[in-house]
Amino acid sequence: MLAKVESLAFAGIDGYLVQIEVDLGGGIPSFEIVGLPDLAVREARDRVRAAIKNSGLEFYFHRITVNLAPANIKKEGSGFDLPIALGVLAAKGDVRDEKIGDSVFIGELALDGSVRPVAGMLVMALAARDAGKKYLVLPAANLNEVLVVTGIEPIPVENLHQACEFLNGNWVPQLFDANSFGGQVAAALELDEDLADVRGQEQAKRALEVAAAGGHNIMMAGPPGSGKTMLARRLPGILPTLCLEEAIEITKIYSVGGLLAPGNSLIQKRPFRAPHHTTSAAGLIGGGRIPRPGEVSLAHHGVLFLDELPEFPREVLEVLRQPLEDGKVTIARAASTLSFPAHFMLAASMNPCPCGFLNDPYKACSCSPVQIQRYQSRISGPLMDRFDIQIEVPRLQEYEYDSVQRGESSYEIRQRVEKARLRQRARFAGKSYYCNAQMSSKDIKKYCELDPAGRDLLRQAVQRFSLSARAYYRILKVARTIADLDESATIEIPHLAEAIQYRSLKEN
Amino acid sequence: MQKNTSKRKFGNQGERIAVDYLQQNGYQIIACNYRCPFGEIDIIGQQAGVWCFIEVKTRHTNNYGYGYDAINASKKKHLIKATLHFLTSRSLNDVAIRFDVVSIDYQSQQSYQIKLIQNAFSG
Repeated sequence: MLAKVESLAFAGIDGYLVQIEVDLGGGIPSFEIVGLPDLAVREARDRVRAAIKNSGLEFYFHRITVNLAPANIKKEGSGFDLPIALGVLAAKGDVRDEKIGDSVFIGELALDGSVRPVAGMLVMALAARDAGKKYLVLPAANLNEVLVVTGIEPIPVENLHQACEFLNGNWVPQLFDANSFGGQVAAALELDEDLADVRGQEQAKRALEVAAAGGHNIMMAGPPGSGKTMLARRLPGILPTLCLEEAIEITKIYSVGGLLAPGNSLIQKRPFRAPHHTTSAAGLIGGGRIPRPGEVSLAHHGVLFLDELPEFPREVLEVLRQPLEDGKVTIARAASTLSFPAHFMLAASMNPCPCGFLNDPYKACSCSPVQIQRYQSRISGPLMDRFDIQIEVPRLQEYEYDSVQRGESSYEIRQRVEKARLRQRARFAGKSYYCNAQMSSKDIKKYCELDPAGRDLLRQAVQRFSLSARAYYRILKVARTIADLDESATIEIPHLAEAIQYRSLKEN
Repeated sequence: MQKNTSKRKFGNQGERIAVDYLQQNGYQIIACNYRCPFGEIDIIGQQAGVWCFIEVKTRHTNNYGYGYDAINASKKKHLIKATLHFLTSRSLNDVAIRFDVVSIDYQSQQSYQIKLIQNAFSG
């Protein structure tokens, strides 16, 4: 009386199959789960017992041993309830086992036998598909999450009884068309926050457009209330619309974090994450005994916005360096070492000084030079260097916010951004990256040729502002993006001049 | 030897009621009051091929809870050990086993309520 059922688990953002072996034997009745179960998995025995009983089936007088393989990986969560229950029933002969080999099962059981949703459904569905399984028996509440996965048939079940009926061939669920969901990505993108809502600040909007076009990190400095946060919130809206692969990648991260809203199948908007400045380093890059994605991963393919950057503790900011360079974070904990993708645009805002009115033409700054110096030095040079675009967002004049004239809408700007991104994709075809901000220094030499006048200008700028080598290359990247927006094959003097101007924040 | 014979008598009376009741319910009684160094099993029976180890609890009144409330962790431990002793002595390996409880609760001198709980606990 042995039954084998397959289930799913995930580590990081990758799912894997878990074999569940159920043996019914004689002797003192007991119910043991082995194979490194955590507490939630071990408690499955009580849920399984009650769920089977309350589904109108018999459950008793056996010595039940459940083994979860691979036995060396710690199993966590409540998703094994359903497969364990079905394994017990299959071993007893209460359900037919023809379909069991082709299927994977996942779901948490309530005591009355109904099936509750679990986290990480999308990544697990992808793993089941890749393992060549035919049916995925999952909680009905998770159905929307897996509809984007083609090549496996989802069998949504409301309760244990339904799952038994499916295995016994008494119930044929309706088919779900996976492809109908692919089209949703391009179609649905309604913006509740439009750049046209922001009055004035034309220079800042231009800088945002350049940042979006090349995937550059952007830093905005300005007095309180000048609209830095408002501008940043509108950044995802001018980024190119997500393609299906990107959408699935983002959804995978949210899926394993258990952050998908119920009924949400696919994340279609670029994420905008604005963690508070009291966030810990682990909260930012991810962590926990069994590592969970942090803010940088939740901002994957989107924008990570750090408001009031100098308020963040220095050690928290320094952990951003690895994800900024590599586009992923690797978190090592005693239980496991995991990698999460973290490919995001970093946007940040700061005041020029603690009171916020340094360099303000109308209001006097009340800070002492020491205070200003201390405030600005909270951001290390290496981190500041990583902002390709650094701009000032000045306070608006009265006549500017009275003006009724609406600026360009996010949609119009996005059209230009998408065009510039297309040029970049064509240029970087076959490479591992796709936008200017990610160019390697070798490729910068290849794609960012300057004419003699341009070289001369850049040399002057480096001397005048004593720029680092990294800053030098970053100016070239930004210049390349501006040229792309201008649909120019070569970097001209105006492009370069604009790029240099985006580096001069500290000098003002 | 049991000190309080009136309590003993009362218990035996309950066990007789239980045996009758179980036989009516299709149990084949194998042994009563199986004693071993680990404890005592009130009734050992078989029903539909399953070995049943039955604990009988008889109560005068419900002032201190019902009979079946009296099966606690240490009682279970004794029962399991005694069961293993029984199985080993008879070389019964890999047989289906069940622990049942029969609870007899007197409402008055004559009338009582009898309740059979199958598969009451597991090891």
